[in-house]
Amino acid sequence: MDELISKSLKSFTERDLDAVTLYGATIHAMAFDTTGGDLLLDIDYIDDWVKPTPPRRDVRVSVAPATLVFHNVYGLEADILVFSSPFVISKVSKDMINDKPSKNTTWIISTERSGRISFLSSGLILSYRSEPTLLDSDKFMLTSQERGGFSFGLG
Amino acid sequence: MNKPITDIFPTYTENDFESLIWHDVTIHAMAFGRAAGDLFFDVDHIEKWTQPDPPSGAYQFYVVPATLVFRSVWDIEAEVCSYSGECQIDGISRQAVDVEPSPDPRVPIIPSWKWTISLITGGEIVFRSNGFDLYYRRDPVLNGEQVFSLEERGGFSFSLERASG
Repeated sequence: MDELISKSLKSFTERDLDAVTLYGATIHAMAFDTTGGDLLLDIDYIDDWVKPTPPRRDVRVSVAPATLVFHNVYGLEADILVFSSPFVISKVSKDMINDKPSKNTTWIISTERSGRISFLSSGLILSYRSEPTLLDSDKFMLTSQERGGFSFGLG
Repeated sequence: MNKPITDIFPTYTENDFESLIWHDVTIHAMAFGRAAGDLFFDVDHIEKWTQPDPPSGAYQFYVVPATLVFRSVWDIEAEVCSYSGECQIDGISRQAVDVEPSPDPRVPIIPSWKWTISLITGGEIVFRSNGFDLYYRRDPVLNGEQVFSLEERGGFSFSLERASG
């Protein structure tokens, strides 16, 4: 049986972004809470890539349904193209002033083939909503049933 | 327990399109349903505007949290600008799309449209789809505002079911 290398990381913030990548996360839904100024994304987060243990030869991925929240968001601009492919994150980058996160940090969510979303925000938190599930590496996202439908819950 | 989808009926469909109001409807959330290629919007739908009673001069609105589902969506292009995150519809228009008939005459031709959702807050969402279903999640209520707070509407939801009671 393959050994899943657990990071016991159930949530992280913008301070962890250098160590944790959002590459490959699929965006299923997005919402805006105008009361608190939060942008919420319902995603499948790739928790880890799992090396095969012989006789298995295929790499697998552990994927968790998660909620990604950006705080104090304003100046949102989205340019999105979705044909039939999933809306998959290739990179989340930030342009900070004086290398410190602030309300004026510009965030850019780039996708593989589906455009990008940019906005100003003071920071983010990502919360797993359940334990990761092991999938073949050609499947980066969970089914609706596996992920419990759409949700913006915080674990 | 959730009802089977076959037991849930939309309040309105694309057949009611011409009579439905879209102006000032707030979009709270959107979602991509992978399995069937559906596009979901969590909205506060305004079923009706009431004329102001003098001397108040203020319109009132029958507003309801609702799930708007466009079926079998493809070619989504969205340019959205919103300074504060608010996203309100200015209007929705549709244009019939010519569908190439199948070489097999038994395959039915399903009407399709190019839909354009124009936003008051800036930008538009354009896509092609076979039509839509609009599900009210409870009964509309007369309101001085066109939008509910998150607490009033029970948070975000893409449910198709009407709350009982």
